[in-house]
Amino acid sequence: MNYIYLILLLIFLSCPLSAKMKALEDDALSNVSGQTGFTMDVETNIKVDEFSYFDDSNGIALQGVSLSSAADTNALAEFHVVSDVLNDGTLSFEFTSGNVARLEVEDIRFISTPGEVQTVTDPSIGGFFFDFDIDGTFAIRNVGNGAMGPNSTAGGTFDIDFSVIDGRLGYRTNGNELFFDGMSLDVSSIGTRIGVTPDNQWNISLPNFLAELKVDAIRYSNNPANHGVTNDGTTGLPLASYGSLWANVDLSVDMFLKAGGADGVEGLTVNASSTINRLDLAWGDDTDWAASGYWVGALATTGTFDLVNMTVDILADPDAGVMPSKDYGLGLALAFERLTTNLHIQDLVLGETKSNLDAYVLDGNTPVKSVGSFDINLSFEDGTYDAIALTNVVYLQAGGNIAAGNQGLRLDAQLNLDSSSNQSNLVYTDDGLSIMASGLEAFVDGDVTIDITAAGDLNGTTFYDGLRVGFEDVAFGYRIEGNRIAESTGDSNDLKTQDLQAARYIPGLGISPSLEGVLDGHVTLGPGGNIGQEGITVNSDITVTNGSMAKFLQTNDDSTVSGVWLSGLNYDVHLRDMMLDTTSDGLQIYETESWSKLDVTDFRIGNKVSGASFGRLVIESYSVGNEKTVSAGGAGSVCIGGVGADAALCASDNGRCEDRGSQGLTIKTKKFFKDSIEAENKRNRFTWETDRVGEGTATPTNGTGMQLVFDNFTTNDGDGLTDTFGIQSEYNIDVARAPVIKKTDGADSNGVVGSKGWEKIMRADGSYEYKNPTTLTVADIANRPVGLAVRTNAQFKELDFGSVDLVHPTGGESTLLYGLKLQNFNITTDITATPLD
Amino acid sequence: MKKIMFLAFTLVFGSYGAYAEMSRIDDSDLSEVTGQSGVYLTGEVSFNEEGGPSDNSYFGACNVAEKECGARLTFQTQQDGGWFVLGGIRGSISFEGLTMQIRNISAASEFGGDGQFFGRDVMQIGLPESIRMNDFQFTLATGSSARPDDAGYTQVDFMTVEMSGDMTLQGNLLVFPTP
Amino acid sequence: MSLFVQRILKLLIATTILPAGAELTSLSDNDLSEVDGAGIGLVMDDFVFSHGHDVANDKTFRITGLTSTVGEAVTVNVNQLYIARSGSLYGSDLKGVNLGRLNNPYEIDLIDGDDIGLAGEAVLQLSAPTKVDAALGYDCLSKTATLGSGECSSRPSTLAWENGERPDMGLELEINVGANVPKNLNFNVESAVFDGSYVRLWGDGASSKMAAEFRLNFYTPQLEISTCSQANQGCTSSIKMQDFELELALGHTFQPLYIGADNVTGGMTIEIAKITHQYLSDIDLTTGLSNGTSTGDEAFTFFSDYYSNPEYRSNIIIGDLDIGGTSLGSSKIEGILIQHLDVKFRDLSL
Repeated sequence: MNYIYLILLLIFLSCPLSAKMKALEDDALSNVSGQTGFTMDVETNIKVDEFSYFDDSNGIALQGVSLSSAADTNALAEFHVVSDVLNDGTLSFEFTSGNVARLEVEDIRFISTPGEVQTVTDPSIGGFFFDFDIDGTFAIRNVGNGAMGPNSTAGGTFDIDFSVIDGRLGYRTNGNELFFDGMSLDVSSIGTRIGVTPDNQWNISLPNFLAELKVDAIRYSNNPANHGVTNDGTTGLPLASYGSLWANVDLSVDMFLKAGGADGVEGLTVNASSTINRLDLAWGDDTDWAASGYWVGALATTGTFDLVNMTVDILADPDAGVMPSKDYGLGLALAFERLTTNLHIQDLVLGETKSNLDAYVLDGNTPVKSVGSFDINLSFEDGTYDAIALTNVVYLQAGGNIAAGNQGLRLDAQLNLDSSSNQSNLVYTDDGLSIMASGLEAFVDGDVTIDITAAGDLNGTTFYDGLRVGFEDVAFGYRIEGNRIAESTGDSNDLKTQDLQAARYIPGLGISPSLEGVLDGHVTLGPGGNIGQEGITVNSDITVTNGSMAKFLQTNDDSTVSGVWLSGLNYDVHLRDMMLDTTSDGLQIYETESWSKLDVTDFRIGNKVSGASFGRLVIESYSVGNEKTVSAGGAGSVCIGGVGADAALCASDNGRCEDRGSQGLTIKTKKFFKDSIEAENKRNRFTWETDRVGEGTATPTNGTGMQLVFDNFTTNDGDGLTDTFGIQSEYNIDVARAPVIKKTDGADSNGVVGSKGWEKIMRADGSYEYKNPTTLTVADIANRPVGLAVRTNAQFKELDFGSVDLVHPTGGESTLLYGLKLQNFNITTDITATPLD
Repeated sequence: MKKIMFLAFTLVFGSYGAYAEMSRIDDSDLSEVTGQSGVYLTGEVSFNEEGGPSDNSYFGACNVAEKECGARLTFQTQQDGGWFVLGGIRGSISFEGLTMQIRNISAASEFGGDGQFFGRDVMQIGLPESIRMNDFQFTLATGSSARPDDAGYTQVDFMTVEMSGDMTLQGNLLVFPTP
Repeated sequence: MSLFVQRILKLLIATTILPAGAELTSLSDNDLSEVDGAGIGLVMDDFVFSHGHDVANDKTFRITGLTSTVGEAVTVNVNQLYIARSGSLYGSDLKGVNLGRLNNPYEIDLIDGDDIGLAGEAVLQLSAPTKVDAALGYDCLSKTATLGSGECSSRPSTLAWENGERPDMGLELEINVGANVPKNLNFNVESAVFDGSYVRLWGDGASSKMAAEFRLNFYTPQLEISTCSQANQGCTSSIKMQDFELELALGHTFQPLYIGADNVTGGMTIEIAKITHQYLSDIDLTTGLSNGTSTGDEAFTFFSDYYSNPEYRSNIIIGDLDIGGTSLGSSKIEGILIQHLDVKFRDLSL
């Protein structure tokens, strides 16, 4: 938002206008006295070939910049400006558009000489356009020349208030475009200060920034003839849409810019800090912005954001001279010393109407389908990950994916999330009980490309319609030290003193405590879903090589990390037309076809690299027509150890009734495992290989050992013919209380004493004691330890394994079991994990 | 699918467990036991408590006398041969205090002296003091074909085992790679 | 269950029992310890299992689905099934026992058939702790065995190592046949050892069957079969077998055990194919010797080894058989060699 305002400001204050001005005769002016200042009707069509910024002889050039009418770029943009001096000395400008104007940049390139002639095929970041029909005021307050505000800024104080309607904001590459359509933007920034501080920094301060963005449709076009239009020029039909977007923000920001960058003499250094008083962000699918259509959103977010010493320079690719194949030329280098953000999302909502969201924003009480609250605490800083030194820098380079065309954005990024004192962590709060993914460390190092692509094969690469995020040799890794779980105090930092609990892979959600590797491939987000007109269609081909994933991770007392690791992991996954929609049930996903192969060189226990290995595991999966629904709300009321719909029935069956609240996460899936198609490498197969050549060393040779293979497993309806039921699973994830019974007499690892069979009960201050179960009161039962409760139910009519084989490296395959079928299964597991004392 | 395989793997390796400390281990031994950060699990596993999803001439609802509502696993060891059946699997197993942790065993005092020569990590799944079975049952049998609703299917039952109530099960299952 | 046992015993006796020469030593499993598979090791530490049928305490443990020969329903209540530390006094004093040792655990392995005479086959092996050299092991029967006294690696429960790796196990049954008076049948075993037992499974492509090689070693200083009531397990109406050794060999890599089911009657089938050799025709049937060709020599060597190698034979040795307090002395069935086995189970009502 800040940048659009800045652009407008620059246009109106600094760029010459080819306005039509007539000199006013003195006698005409004599009628103007003490009334509304002056009125200006501006009709303009500006084209600037190049607007560039140079830093130590390297430049970034905005080429083909133009301001014109949006409907016809040869026609004029019309504005009406009224200027006045108010009674308190404020100089005010009221501006109104006469039509929808378009501000466009055709290409952004990196150059070494101003005005050098470009060929059309030179790499470019692509084009941007902004259509707007604006109406607002800009007031310069009369505050004198003294220092203003907490930063003692010498400059001006401005009040800015404007609305944009009929807006579009688009990005074009290679004839394809993605844009916000039907956009309205309301911005108010009262008391904006711009000036220079005593230590020679340019200070832009927005102490009261309010904005609301509404985007009717996010559209995509692959017809080069379309250039920011709602309906396709050839068919006349509305362009496909991803859905609607809504953002509502109330924040204050303080930004400092000083001269001098990271390298050379010139450049820029930015420091900024922001307090977010409120942020609501939501995506709507097939919605009328009222009671029809459903939204997913993060509501009532508050937090802070602090950027320290971000340098802005134009620099050569860091791989230049080191790895020429990865040298993509000059780029805008953004390097920062530290970026800290602490955000609290009060409600993550899945499947609500806009009317309900609006009511919630107004009163904060309206019940909404909420998963719960999230706290995101991240600290990007220089540091190390597994002894590799990392810093934080992103190079914005031109070209994007090479095969897609010359336009596109490439981010050569190295980022490091530091957590030496648990500064980075994620917290989820479900009905007042919190779980923290503690001590989050992460890094990324590689090239990410962004292009808008069209379906088809180009230069040997297959592309799909949509926004394509490409990964080229992106080394990445993340790891947590474990989980900390307790009742929420309102401050996520209080969780840091809780016992650390080992973290494990959460089924359904598919998240592991640690994953590392090298990422290649792409995720392409196209428009349109499975239900209604709008939605997101995902096509993806991803490979992770040389990776390692933890299925179970514990940080020991001596800070070493032990776990169950899938190490030497090579993962290959393909998604075709996976469609996302939002319905009243939440997020609905339909996977037209998906297949994957997970090849784990060593399944290890203990240390990630040197732990003893069970051998190799290969899990191949192929399914068609899978469905998944992600909804707010967890297990609700459950009966553990018995069957009963309510507390009384449950107790009569010797069960224990638990109410896990209204928040939580539920994931329902329906999977259909299909017969193998060998020619396309699509199959469902599980292989365990051991006794390989080099088994137990760092480099075993896959394919040289003995294999046990569960081959060609498929689902069917129990008749071997139809498959309409598949495997239906439901995962409910909650943070909930569970009984913890002491297993031995004496003191536990924290020194707390109790007898065998006694129950652990939490105290209000976060400590705990053991109590005799016969003396437990109702209050005690409400203070049982908090844990991560995962309830899973899986049902299928028949899971049919084609065969179970034993494979010898030279002798080949022999069948051990000629058939294996699992029939009529309905398994429920309900496990709550609490810390081990 | 991964979930089922992981479930199968964990069932094969014994389920989630607890690290039971015996009173005879003294403090100095405790200090050698690393990895106290593990996880303590409480909950249940149930099979077909309210029946399964199939409904044909053999499978059906639990309150229908002639129908089978339990889960069934069947396998064939010879081509075109008959099938082994583990069927009628029903009931639930609930537990408190299965624990899971990675434990390094290197001390001479552990395992009657074996610990000293072992020196490796194991996955220690501690079993709880007691497990409650709730109407848990299964049947062992052999049958003439894969599906009991096939024409001409005959089944020879060996026995049906029924278990309920508190079962005493304690100790730790250690799982580790060999050699 | 008694029907099973009856049938197995009958058929075992029907197979040829060749008289052994000298007293046979226990099966040497040297070939097993040389086989180096890789896989999953399992050890139970401080293990106790106990469950029983006790209606008063809401406990159920029974076996149903059996019928007697005249069609009466048979319900077998398991009064107690226990596995615990040696010295459990018929399962009344339950303390933890270890099963398997860290350096010699129960294992699930994939082994290379090339090492065991099955060229080109991968073999799935489920095994108990292997036997070890006499200098490193313990006597398989003695409750006070010390290091270097025998080939079993599982150690008895002693003051130095209280758990031991030799559990007490018991199966105490109450058999209800129709409306008849319930009868008790108890099996209680002390300090049991299974070292050297294994099952190997592989796919026999030639016959399209799953093939198996099965070895069960079972040693106990006392195996007691009694009809005592649950409350009075130490009563006198019992058969005590002291120093009981069972070494059962079913199937080999060249004469595998096939376990399957019949695709018409649904009954289980257990088969050990008739021992044969590809060059059997080169054996002179009157002299029993090779006909002089190299293939005949090969066949003769094979059969010679087959009939003389103690590894292929099963033994049951009872050090002292005591019935109701009266000792009958020792007895042995040694050197059982199964040359052919064909068992088919069927439902009596068919």
